[in-house]
Amino acid sequence: MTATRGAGLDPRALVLWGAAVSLPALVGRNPWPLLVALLAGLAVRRSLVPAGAHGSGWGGLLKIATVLALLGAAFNLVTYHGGDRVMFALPDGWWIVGGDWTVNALVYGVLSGLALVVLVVAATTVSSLLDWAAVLRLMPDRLATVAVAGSVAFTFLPQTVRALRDIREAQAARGYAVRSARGLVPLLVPLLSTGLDRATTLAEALESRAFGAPVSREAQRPWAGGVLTMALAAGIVAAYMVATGEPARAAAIGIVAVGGSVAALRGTGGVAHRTRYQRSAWTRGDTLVVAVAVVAMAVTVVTLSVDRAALVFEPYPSLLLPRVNLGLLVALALLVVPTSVAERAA
Amino acid sequence: MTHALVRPHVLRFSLLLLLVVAGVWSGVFAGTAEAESPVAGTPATEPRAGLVIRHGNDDLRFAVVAVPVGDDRFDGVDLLEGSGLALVTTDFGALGKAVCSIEGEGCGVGECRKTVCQSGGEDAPFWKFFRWDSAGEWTVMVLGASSVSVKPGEIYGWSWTAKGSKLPPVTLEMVAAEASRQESAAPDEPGQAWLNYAAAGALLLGLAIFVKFSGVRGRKPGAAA
Repeated sequence: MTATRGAGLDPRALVLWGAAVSLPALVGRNPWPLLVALLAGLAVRRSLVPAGAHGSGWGGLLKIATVLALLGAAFNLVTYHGGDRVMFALPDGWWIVGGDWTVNALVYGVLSGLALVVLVVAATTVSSLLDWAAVLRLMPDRLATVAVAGSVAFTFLPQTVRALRDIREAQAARGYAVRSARGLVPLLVPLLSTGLDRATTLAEALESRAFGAPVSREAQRPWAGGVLTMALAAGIVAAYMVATGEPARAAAIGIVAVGGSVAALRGTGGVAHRTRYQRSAWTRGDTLVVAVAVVAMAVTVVTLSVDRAALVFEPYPSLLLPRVNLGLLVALALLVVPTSVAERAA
Repeated sequence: MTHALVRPHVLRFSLLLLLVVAGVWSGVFAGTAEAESPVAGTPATEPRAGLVIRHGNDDLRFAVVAVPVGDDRFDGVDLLEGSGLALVTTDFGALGKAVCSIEGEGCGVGECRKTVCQSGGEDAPFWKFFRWDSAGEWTVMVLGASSVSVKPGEIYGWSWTAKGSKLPPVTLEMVAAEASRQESAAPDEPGQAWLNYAAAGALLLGLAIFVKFSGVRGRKPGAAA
């Protein structure tokens, strides 16, 4: 007997799949890989996420992201006036909107919005399918505290969205309809009180299980706190090095950060050992999903090195056809594989 | 129990996006082949200023641009834009414009808005702006191209460098001659085969059809929870 698994897939396979779908949107704005990643994400979402069930809270976020993406495209069109495809021009003296309004700016805005939607589709699909209890069980014992805090934080938004929907439906059943901003008060006050109630209940439940209880002084190494602080600082410096384009130094400092973190966590002691009622079984479907995700990510990274234009597209200063790399597109299209795997697993 | 999942708004949005992107490109690119000459040249009788661009691989581009007489607002960015070279700039309001990319070298608008293409390393290059001064040297213009009023007969230079100009000594006549030679020798940009685009379009269409007909099959509602 196996533990509950989202869409019949292991959480690790799901997370890897999400990373593979997100990667093209993180590294560039070429519309071809973005569209293939979006369609692959939508196919998996439509096949595996049940309507109105677990993923409904995230569905609202997807709507918001779509609206924000369209607003972002319009904002870019209004505020950036570069490019060779001028639609019309407003006097330069006009604040912000003055200058050439170009197709280039519109295309860049649309592509940025498309990248945002791809990221949200990937994240919401994975979040809707993930079994958080299984994720917690998969984390090492020493990271259990961090994992619990992370899962609480990650589920905050969809829970709030669901609570808001429930309150709105309850108020509508009483004949109440929102007609102005002031009319939101009867929705927001119960939302706030519900949130506080839920937070109190959660805190009591965690405390009753000794979550965050101090470990004994004998079990804790005195140097662990200092090493962990230095490791976190090294991690921040490594992130800064990545941002400033110095990957070699970033890698070296990153190794120090990871090593320091591992040493500090081993020195904390007092780890609560967890027991498991049932263990999640790794299936051939999981292997297949991991394989296509790894292939897609590897092809993306290699393409970024040898054919950068196939991923990175700039509509400035001239709007030219974006480069096509068929190998990359086929590798990304393979990310629809979870649809067939999950059908067999169901 | 078979439970069909229908998310028409998501599907409609993705298909609409596909159509918009395809429509924009098919409509907009009709005139791509008729792009104007990359380097501007002006008759020697007109008031003009010279421009030298040095890329990171030491390739040099030359241009001469007509300068409006008596117009103090004609600045270094106007001169660069007048050259007709492929250019990306971004506006920093009262601080003027920053040059992000010249002929594809540099960075995109997003990165430029954050760092002006400077990665932070000691040897990291960016587009530096110089003027060929009366002493016969390239002098860096620290206030930027938007703060410089270009006069006829002057020569300005842009160099993708971290230190020093690395620009060659020049005269306006030499710049004009090189600009004319480069203009006549400019090669056409090779395009990608249309077969590639047709195959990519077919792949997208196939995926869109797959999305259209995909849905929850053989799973009970809420089984993933």
